[in-house]
Amino acid sequence: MNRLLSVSSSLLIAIILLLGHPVKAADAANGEKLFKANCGACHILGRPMTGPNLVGVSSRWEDKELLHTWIKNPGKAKATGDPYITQLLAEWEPKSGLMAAQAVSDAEIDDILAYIDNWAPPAPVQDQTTADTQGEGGVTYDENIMILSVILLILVLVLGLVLTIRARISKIIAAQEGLPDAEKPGPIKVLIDELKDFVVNQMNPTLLVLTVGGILSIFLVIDLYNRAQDLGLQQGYAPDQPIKFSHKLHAGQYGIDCQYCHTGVEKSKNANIPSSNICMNCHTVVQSGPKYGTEEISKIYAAIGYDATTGNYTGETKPVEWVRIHNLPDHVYFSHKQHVVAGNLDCENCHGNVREMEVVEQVSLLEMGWCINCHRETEVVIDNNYYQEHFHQVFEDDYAKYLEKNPDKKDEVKLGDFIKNHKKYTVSDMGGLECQRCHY
Amino acid sequence: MRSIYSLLLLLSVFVLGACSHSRHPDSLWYDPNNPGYEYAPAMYHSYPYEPLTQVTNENATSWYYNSTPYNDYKGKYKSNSLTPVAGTIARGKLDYYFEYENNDSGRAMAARNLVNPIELNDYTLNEGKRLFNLYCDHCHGEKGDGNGSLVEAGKIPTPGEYYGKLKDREAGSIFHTITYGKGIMGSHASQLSPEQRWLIVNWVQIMQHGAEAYKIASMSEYEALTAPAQSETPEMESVQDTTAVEEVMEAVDSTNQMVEGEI
Repeated sequence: MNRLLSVSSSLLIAIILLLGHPVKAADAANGEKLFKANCGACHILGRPMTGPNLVGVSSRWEDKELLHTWIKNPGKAKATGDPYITQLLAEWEPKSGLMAAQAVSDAEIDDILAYIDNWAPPAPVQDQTTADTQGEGGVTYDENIMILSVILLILVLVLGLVLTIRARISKIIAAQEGLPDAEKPGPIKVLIDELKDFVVNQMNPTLLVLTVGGILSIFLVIDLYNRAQDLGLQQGYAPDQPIKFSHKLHAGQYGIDCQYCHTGVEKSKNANIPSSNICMNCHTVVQSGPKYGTEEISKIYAAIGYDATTGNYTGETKPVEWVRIHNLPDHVYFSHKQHVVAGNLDCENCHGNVREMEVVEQVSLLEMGWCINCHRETEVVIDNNYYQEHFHQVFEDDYAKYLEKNPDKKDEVKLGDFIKNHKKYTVSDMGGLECQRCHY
Repeated sequence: MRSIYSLLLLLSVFVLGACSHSRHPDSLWYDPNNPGYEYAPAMYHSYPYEPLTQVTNENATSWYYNSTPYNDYKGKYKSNSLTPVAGTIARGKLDYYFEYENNDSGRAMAARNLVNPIELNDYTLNEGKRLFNLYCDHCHGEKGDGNGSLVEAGKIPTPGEYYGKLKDREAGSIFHTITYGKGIMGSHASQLSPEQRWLIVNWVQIMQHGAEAYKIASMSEYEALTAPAQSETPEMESVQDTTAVEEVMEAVDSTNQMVEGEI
């Protein structure tokens, strides 16, 4: 019974599907797979890429036989001298060359064409993002002000409460002592009276001036001290950039390595900000992002002069004016190459977990003490020719000192053993604390 | 009253202290767009043009203003990016000059003529693998199966397996593709030096040997994998000997000689 039910229901579904779609659903699904495997490298539906936009292809080709021949063997189809093919080639051959022959059967071509005919453009992503994007940058700032004002409000209320209670109690005491019962004033009036009493009767003017002056000067001292502490330091600097590029999406979610874009990190002093051509390695295909839609990506196109509708470069370029975040003063020499290649450091060591940052922020202090600390603590791998050759004297001197202290270990500990196991060599031992190492 | 007085005093010190300047992100004063103060601008800013700074305020003092009017945008936009003078090659960059044209016949010529100058050994093998996993893996996949993170996310169509459709690509052809790009793959010449490109070519050619080849980490493992297939190598060489470049050019014109389904 169950089986009968399931068979009949699946039949029903099949009939509904058949009635609903003029083309068999299975064909289009297979066609999608075939399209992605064979055509997707050069064609994308909805716009031209390496090859033309294929939407409406079956209506453009009058001779279906010829279309099949073209897909299976473009050279043969070209030889027929068909005017439509000649026109197509005149447009596309100069920039993309002739299409490669595809190893697909006639039935498979029909599947692919069915998929193309049934294809509908995906809904634009822009709408759902607007709510998300609002108030992005200043969240912490606004929240802080809010929290602080709430705390202040609570403190003022507590103060008022304390004063009111105190007024009540003094009133009760007055009543108990048999003094005449004063008319009952409201709590605000009591508070104002109390404050007036406090300022007029109990406050010494000199004391008042001293108090206010004292508070102000304490504030000024703290404030000045903090400002002096931060002088020349940019920790926490997270400026808005001209393009809202998200490292969280590119490096975090998609796992693109830092060096793919910051190519100079192993080759030069600078880790370089990528020029727009590196963006275009992916963004010729990816024309819409998950958060801002086409808004931010179109800024790359504007910078490099790319026309997304035709896929051509206009040649009119302008720079993207990225805001520099990590900035050492000009009197310090710092080389990424040395730290990444020789020092074998990861980017995260200094730049923090950029993979989680929507807006890049300077995490490290980048002050001299911060550099020096790392130079003092980082051990050097001395087991290579460079150090054996250039620092041999240092090793021998240290070994001699060690033997002076421990004369009995002379046979037990040899020089090679000593530098490997008995002494830690840090960057500072290799001249990493010398002034002119960085200031020259 | 004295207690309230001292309470007020303490409170105001506390509140004012908390309100004083600080660059901490939790502070009231925190502004992500504020870079803070400098103590000696003349020591901070470079006299020579710095490629990553674009100080566009011309009214700033001479050491501060740092933007060349002779940039790529002919001074129309403030930027310090400069392309090399036309017709010149920087010292030590001669190998960046690539004489083959960016088209199918250029690729076929490169495939015939170019020989990988880098000898395969343990170091170059692993260096090529490392570079591949930095610059190529998010599309081509760590395993060379054309299924990298961007392909899996549905952002980029799959380029295909190295051991499938792209199995017979020659070293020169792969080098040409990295240099100029092909189809939707863009040029990686600005990211990779010619030497790095050849290292990657080595690794790609190892991955052409099969789906398991990406696991190789040393020459001995590579030799173990390629040992049974050694009979193929002399065949390929003989083809190269007999075919002249002219023939290749003709073959390219008749398109069917072209490698199928390349990216």
